[in-house]
Amino acid sequence: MTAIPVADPRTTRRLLAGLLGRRRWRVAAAGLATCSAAVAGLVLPATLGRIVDAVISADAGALPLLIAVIAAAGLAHGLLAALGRLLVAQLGEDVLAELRHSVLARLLRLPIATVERAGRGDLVSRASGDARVVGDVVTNLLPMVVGSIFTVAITLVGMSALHPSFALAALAAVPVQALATRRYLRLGRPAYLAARDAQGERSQRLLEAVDAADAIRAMRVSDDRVRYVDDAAAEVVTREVYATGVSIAFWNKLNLAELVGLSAVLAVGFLLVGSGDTTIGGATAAALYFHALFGPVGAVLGGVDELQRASAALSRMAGVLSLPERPTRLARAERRAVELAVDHVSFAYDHGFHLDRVTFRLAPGATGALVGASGAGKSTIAALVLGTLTPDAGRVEFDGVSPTGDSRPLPRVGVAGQEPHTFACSLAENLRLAKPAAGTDELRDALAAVGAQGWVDRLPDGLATVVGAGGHALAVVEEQQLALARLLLHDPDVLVLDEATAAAGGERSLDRAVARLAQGRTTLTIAHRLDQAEHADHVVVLDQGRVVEQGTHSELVAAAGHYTRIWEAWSRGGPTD
Amino acid sequence: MLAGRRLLLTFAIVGFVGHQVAEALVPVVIGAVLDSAIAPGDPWALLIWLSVLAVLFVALLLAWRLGESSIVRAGEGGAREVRRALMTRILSPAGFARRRTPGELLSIAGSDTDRTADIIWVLSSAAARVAAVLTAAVSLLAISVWLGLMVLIATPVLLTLLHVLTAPLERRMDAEQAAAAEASSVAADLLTGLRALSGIGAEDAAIARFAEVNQRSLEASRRAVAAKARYTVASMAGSALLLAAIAGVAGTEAMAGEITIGQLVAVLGLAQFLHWPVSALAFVGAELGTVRASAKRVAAVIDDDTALSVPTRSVSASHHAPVAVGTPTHGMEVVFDGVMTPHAGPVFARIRRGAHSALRFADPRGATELQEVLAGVRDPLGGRVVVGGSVLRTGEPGPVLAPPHHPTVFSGTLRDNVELHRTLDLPTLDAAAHTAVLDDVLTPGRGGWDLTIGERGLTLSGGQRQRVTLARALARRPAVLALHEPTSALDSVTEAAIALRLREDRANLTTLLLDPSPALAHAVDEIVDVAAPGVRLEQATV
Repeated sequence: MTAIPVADPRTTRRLLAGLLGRRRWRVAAAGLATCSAAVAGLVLPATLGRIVDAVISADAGALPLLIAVIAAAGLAHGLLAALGRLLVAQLGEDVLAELRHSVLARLLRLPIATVERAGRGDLVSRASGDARVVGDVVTNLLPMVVGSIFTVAITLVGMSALHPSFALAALAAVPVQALATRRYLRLGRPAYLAARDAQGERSQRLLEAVDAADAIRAMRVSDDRVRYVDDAAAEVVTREVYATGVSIAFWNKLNLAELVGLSAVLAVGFLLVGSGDTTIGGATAAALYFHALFGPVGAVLGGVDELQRASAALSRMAGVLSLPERPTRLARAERRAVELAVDHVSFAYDHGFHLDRVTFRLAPGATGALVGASGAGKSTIAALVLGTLTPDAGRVEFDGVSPTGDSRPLPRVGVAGQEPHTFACSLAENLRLAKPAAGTDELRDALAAVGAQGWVDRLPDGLATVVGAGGHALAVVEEQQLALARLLLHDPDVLVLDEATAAAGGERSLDRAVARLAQGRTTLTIAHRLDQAEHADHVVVLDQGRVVEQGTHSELVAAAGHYTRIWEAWSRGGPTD
Repeated sequence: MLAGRRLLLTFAIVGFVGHQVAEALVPVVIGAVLDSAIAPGDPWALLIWLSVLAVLFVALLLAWRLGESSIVRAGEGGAREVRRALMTRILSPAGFARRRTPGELLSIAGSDTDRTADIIWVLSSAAARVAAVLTAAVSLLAISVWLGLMVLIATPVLLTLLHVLTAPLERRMDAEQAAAAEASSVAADLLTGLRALSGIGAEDAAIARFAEVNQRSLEASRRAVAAKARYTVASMAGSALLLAAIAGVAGTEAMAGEITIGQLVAVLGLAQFLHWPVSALAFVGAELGTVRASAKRVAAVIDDDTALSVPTRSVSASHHAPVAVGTPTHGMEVVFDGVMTPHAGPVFARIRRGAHSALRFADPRGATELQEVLAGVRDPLGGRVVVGGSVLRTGEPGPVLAPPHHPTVFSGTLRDNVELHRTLDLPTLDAAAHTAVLDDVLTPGRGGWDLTIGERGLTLSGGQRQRVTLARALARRPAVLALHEPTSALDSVTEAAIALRLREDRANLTTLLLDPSPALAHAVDEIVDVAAPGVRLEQATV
């Protein structure tokens, strides 16, 4: 289940640099505000040190001014810090929105084969779950962390201004911090990735359970399914507890670093005051500076904790962007029926089933039917014609143009699958997915052409009725008709009907709609009802991945071969009414 | 959720409070170092006080360790418990009166559940922050009564003022979460329909649709960010003024010689330290707002109106009763006594024990509705179904198995799929596979029963998925089995074989075929025509 890769850190960084580079003036403004806030923050401990010196020298007159400075610097710090956080957060939200958009766009354009290998849970979690993990960090953590980084840097400058030895003493904490952080990065990343994987498995099980709720209820296994989801949740708890253990070890080391640094600063203060190189006020300011660093250092290094989660999620999003898009081919401008040729096409799945040198040809505007038992390879041929799968050998051609390894424009191909999906939006929006510019009349015409006018007129809000999950529930036949109306609006030159009317059980109105749709288009039907083959111009009979017979219906019936046998079986069990 | 985790919660609070108290005492020790070591230049005092500092830090990190390790167990365990309750409700036979999109339910079962469990974190960190403020106040009281009183009075005033600002912030954050949930719900819906989209070349239109919700989500975030900025200004300005006031009073007292330099430093250090717990405390309102918003959504699902007239809880309780799987050798009589649904009936029919009957529906929606009635997940509008002499009750386990028409296949092995949480022996499995003509799926070359099936069974063809779900229903050998168009995606040869084998496999077991194909209907004992509501129907025997 790793069909969608996770990007390596460098790729992720490059992606971020690109996103920020396009907003460099806003990055600069955010940086400036945050930096000014850190400088204003510096005034506080310095002034407190001055108060100590003023008390020692009994300079009562200086006190009111110093207090006023504290108040003013505090207010300025508050304003600037808020402004900095605002700018950073806005920038982050913008970048995130753009990233979310490109990830979904890429997921929608992935090769179908990749999507099916990956599983929908992984797709959904990258487009929504991971985006939210990153979003939470961008909203809540990033502004704080950015502000803290500036504070730490500026404070070190302030300490060296008091006396360079103070800054050196403060740096005594760095080796401990560096060791702690390095170890944390080494153990933390895999620990969080493992936790994320466990969460992915849990979401996958949740998704399946939510989706299949009706089947689970009807099969009376609700309790078992809840337990199954809960098992994955238990795994998440185990992984999270482990990851927290790693994080605790890290925080304890950070505390030790604080102890080392603070002791060093106090000891240096002791020496410098003794040698007269600084005042007690100076030593006080240095200690307060360092103490004031506890929070920001914790925020930065502790942020590593959540930033790692976000970076893991970000790498998963960036991984999506590293995948190639489904090659988009120029659609041919000219509209006419095309010749479809399948020429010695072979294809093997990992699990052993294979197609062996399948060859057939459909004249422009002709209808072809693929016939064979389940598993004979009908759907595989459909996928090869669509370009979802690529032949291991041989070629599929439309008017001599192959969908792979050729850059000439292709005719428009349309598919009606056996599982129509009704999107959770209005009926009109569902239809306009196929043709965004279509007017209301055009939508109504398409619906009427597939025989859907009756029920559409009865809908509570007409075309504006929200259908799909959560909306007005459509019957299976209605969903099929909606799918066919969308296909009609798409107006393809080549039509692949993958058991298009199967789900509705061979409803007559659907057969008529399909016939209407096939008019003037080269049509390949995966026939599971032989009356579909009976009316086709060309019938291809498949058995275990090979073409065993082909020709017109009457030729094949007369041939006394494979087709004759299934035709007899069909006629016997066929419609009696 | 909190009830079972009192001990862990207590440990977490004790740990975090201890940690914050130790943090608050650090400036006090710094003051002591200045007073007794640096000012008099006493190296022994320096050594002693630095040792005290070391002890303080050890206490600090041990307390943190206790708090953190307790809270992750409590929080994650709590989230798991909430999620289990939520899933129990979502999968409850009682169903929902109002359908919810899978994306919405997933968002609630995902991030909202985690945020609900955050209550544990909010509670213990709030306790820790209060403890920090109190420790600072007590330390200040010990140094100067005035300073202590100032902090004790000013902190609640400041918090009250800030709390006024939390209401709009909560609303904005609520809106931000809702918009983010909508965006992920639309993303999930579009990705679910990916096949349909690519079949009509509608990827670009789908991307445009997502762009719209994404933009709405971005705008909601912007408003929330702006509200947070206003809040930050207020909280930091308040803290700055409090700090200035404390510095003024402490400086004056030090000038007058009432407190020492070290005490002055301790006071200033404490005043500086106070900013973190105070401004964090001011956020407790917002944090609770987030938790509350998520908890509300979780609770709304758990307490949502049911589709059935039976209460949810009793249903899930009674659901623990084992379903009669076994291997009944005889079916049961099924009597439709005026059963009516929106698009079918009233149905009056008596299906003999062990008979194979077909029900043909004037309106195909009626077949789905009757399947749901037989599955116990829909209340009929009128009439009743009597099975083996007792009335079929919705939401309770019974002798009837009626899977939905749509073939649902889960990720896992073929065996997992056919067994679906029941342990079945190999002969039973093989018999079901034989009847459902699973030959092309169940081959040694593909791993036999251990064949791995990907998510939603997309590695299988439509016909294969339908036969896997058929085998699943057959393998349970229910006394009464209702199958809704079980062969609609199959070719005629396979269909004919299934029609034949179904008779042998379910000899003497009652079998109802709802809207079967002609080939299947050919092989039944009787056909019942079900009219749309309002029409009396006749029972025909073939």
